[in-house]
Amino acid sequence: MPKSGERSTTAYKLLLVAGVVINSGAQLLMKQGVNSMGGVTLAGGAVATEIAGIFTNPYVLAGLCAIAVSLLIWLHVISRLDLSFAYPFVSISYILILLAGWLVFGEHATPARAAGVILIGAGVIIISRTER
Amino acid sequence: MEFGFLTVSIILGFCGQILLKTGILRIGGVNFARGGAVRQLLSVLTSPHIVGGVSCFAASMIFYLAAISGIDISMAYPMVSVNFVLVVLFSRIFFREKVNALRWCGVSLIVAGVFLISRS
Repeated sequence: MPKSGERSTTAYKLLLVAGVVINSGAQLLMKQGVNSMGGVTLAGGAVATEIAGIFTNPYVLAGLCAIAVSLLIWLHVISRLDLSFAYPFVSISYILILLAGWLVFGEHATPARAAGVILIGAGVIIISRTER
Repeated sequence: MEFGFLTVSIILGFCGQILLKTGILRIGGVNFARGGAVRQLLSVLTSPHIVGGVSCFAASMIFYLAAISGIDISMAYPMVSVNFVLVVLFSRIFFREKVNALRWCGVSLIVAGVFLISRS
């Protein structure tokens, strides 16, 4: 790795992780949004009302804004980094959503899931060492 | 039928990533930290590849929702991780990125981890 580019590459990696964190937050916000509406079926005669409900729900709107931000961060990041380097970082969202399940929604942490989190984490750390 | 939806969803998600990278390469990349954000945003919004890529993501999401309404999410989730392999493989083919053994090793660990999570 060239010495001069070292510092800015670190900044790009941090931004990459931040983008994935924001995207995971967006998914949780939208989940919270459809939950607060009592679920969405998109069936029967109430489809128009449901769609209007989705797009006026504050959680869903906040989630959509967060997705737009994470998309811009993603475009910024892949302008500089290889896609085969950056894309695997998206798997961090699996870890974050499981952690949110454990910490926020009180779901049970099974040994297999914990092992899965460790494997994903190890995979991302290994990949983060492979940029030239 | 649902597995068809799932397959379409996975292919669309993968195509979206490849289109975004292609679009970014064509417009010469963006750097929002450097200023000129409005001009860069315009070049992003008028890039057919980037707009196409984002449309692929939206369509992928709809097919995914259709798929998981019919099959167990514990079945759908690990299949989506095929994307990690596809994106890395085609980045190598289309964009001539150098993917060394260590990077493949990381991708394998991630796929194994996603399988473990969804199987439990």
